[in-house]
Amino acid sequence: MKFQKKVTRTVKVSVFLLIIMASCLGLQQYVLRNVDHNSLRVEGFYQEDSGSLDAVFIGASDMYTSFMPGRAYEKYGFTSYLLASESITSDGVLTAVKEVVRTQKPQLVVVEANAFLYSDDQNDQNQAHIHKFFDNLPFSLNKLDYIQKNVPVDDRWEYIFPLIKYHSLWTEYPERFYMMASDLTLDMRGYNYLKGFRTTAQIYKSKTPSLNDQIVTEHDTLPLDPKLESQLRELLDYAKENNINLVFVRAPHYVTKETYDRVKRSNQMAHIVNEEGFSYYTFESDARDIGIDDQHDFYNAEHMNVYGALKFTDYVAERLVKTEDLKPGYLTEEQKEGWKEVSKTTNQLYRYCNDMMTKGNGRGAQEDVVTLFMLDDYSDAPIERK
Amino acid sequence: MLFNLTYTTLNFLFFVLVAMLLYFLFPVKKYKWTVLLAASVFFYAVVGYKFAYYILFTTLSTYLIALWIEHVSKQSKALLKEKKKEWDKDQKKSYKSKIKVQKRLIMTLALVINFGVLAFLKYYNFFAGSLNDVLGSFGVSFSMPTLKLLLPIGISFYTFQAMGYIVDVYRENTAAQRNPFKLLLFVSFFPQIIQGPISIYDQLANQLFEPHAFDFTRMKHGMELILWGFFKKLVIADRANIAIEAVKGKYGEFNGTVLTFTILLYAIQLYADFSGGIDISRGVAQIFGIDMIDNFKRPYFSRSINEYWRRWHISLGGWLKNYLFYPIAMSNVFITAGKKMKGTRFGKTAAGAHVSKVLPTSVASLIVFLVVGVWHGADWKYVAFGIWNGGIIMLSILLQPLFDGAVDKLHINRKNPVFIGFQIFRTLLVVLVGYVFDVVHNFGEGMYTFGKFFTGQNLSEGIAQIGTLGLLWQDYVVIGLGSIVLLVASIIQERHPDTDIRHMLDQKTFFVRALVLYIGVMAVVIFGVYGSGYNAADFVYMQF
Repeated sequence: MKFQKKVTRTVKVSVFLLIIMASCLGLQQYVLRNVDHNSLRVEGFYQEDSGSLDAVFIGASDMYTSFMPGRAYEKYGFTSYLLASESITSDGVLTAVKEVVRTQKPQLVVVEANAFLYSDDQNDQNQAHIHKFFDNLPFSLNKLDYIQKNVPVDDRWEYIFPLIKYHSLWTEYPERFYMMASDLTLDMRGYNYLKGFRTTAQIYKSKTPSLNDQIVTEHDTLPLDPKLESQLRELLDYAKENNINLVFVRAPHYVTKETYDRVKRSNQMAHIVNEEGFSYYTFESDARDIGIDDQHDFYNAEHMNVYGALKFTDYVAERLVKTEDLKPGYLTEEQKEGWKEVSKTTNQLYRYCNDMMTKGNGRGAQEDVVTLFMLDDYSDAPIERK
Repeated sequence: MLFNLTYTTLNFLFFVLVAMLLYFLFPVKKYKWTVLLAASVFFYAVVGYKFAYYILFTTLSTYLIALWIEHVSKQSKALLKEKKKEWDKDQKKSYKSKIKVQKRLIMTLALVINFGVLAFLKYYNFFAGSLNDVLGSFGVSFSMPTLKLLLPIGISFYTFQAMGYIVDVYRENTAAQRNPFKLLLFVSFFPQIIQGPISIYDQLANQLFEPHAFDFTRMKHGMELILWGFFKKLVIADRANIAIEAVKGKYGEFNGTVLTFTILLYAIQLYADFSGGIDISRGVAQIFGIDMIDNFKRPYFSRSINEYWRRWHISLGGWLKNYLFYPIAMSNVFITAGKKMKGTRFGKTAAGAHVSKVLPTSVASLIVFLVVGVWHGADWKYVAFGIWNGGIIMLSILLQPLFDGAVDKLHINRKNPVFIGFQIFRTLLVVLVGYVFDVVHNFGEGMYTFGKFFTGQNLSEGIAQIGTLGLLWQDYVVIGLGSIVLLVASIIQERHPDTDIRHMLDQKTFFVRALVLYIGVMAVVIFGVYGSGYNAADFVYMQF
């Protein structure tokens, strides 16, 4: 009787604790979570079938606004995903590469250089930027390793249980409902339509002249921030040790006097990367070859719009296929169907953005329920470049 | 702090879990208390490692002096026994009196040393500043330097507790502890080191040293108390604190309505904060099988200020009553003064007889509350706080027959709920006036606030200003609902003083119990003020 009572009590306590834990996890995952395009992108990466990606692109907004995986698949047949996050830190890049190694076996890992080109290491200490990426990573040894090395003891619980940080978001409802719905539908669907691509439907008009012609012949260098250089070298060492086919790219920007030093630091980074035996593609200097029109193909000085992204995707994909021997890997019929849908959605998104820009309605376009709902009105036929 | 180990952090809960596992799995029953000692030392090392030598000094001096007092006492008793037949009555009396003086001197040494350290750290700058002001006003150029002094965590609490032990040994109410490590555990027991309660040696020590086996019901009740403490502290107190701090930051910018609102909010915040913290402390201790005294008995239901102080911070009140009030009220000076007054012409009148009877009590009350005020901090505002409370109590004792007579003449039924409500309201008003000195930065600001209560009221402007205090309307709703939950729980508890809500909950079905606890946990998780988005407020009483 006594034993039976103990068993009953243990079962009751366990069930109670399980319900509490499940409720907290549910709140953390869907309701009291800072869901934005970064969350949907990073979460979508982990929904990809293991070994199904031929290339993974890592970086900051320079990456996820520039390359269109749907377009690359449609034209060149390889599958790819943008494991990128707004202003990702150098630690974030290293952790992302480790996560790619843990979850996928891509032929190629492409890293956009932005995280290493800051003039100091302030971005690496920006809590908002750190959280934007790391909050969305599932719990793993790589995440734990980052937390142990970089997060002050008192803040560690917040990285393990983001609910601690975001529990007060209940005051932001009902405004947050549509992002919560986007998160829920992504989980129910089980895959990401845009594979991480995000853009803003807008054309950048600036009175400050672009220096994109000048940088073509720019060979001067500036040293990288010591901490960022050290992080870069750690990444290169890791890639060597794990035999990763890692390449670096620098996406085109609307370069001005204010941002010119980054071009020089990019040149320095290219030296370091090349010295260590890796490739560095300065696509920023190839803007004219790519066909980028400064007055038409950016939505702000840092990012290309869909017009620029389409040109960049075609150019980069072709280069990677030719020089890095990137080939389409094996896909099941079901996976192929999925990727066809990705391509069609990307085409719809392009037309939707084109329509918005023609009408002068500047707005963000990403993997959320509102944007996806709007796309139904647009054709999914392949985009023909003029 | 090496890392954040305050009571409302996950670190603390994790620490308690580890300590609990070690305690209950410790193989040698006799030495289970060493786990509590290790946990307490670890806790203090983390939260106050820079000042650990203060607590070690207090423990060591208390340990040695208690043994010394006991040694003198035992030796004198042995001598008295030996000389039982040799000495006459006067010799014995004279020897006893000599020993009493000797013991008192030794005890005073302990009190002077330990309260001296506390007083120096807490009040030196206050006295230096005040003295400099006085000398300056007389044109004297000499000035005492002010020092950068930091108060070790929990110094008021552990000093009072240790000195209570010394007095108990002196009074032979308890035997001196022979094991210095056991005394260290009594002084530094981690659930109470931050903000009390101030325990009496006989009540707590044996519980600490006895081995306790795991008991599911105790653990459940302990956790329920911790949850209730978390609810009060995180959901109500820390949320209200955001608005209070906003007002304190720009005091002069707010009108009388906002200041009135702030004092009301402070009444809620202070009670939720302090009683919540004590609930967490008691809950943790209960898990280990240790019952600590309750520090609160629904103080805002008090019908007089005297009763309020019997229900608020009970352990400090008890300490002061035992070790300060009685020694003063029962001292020869006060008793003689009372008797002398009785012999005067005034003393022979009805009023005089009453005054001479209660004079020792009333003056002792004033002194005690002056000490309570100064205990809260070194500032004239706390002196004013003490005088206000002590003065009201003194007056209420002196004028008691007058009040009683008025009630009788007006034929008021003392059990009438309206009359009881009036008494509660009246007491609350007195308490709120005292709180003004708590909230403001200095005495002058306190006076300014009283002025604003009467001259600066403007409801519509006040409501607009309340909207700028850093809280959203949803936060005020949470504070309101949380306070209602607190009020309902208090009413239930007030109506059933012989039991507590946890035992009442035990009588319900599993589903009801689980539902209540589930709502409690989720309320804390969702509506609690914690995490890096907030500057988690320290416990208010931690600073004292």
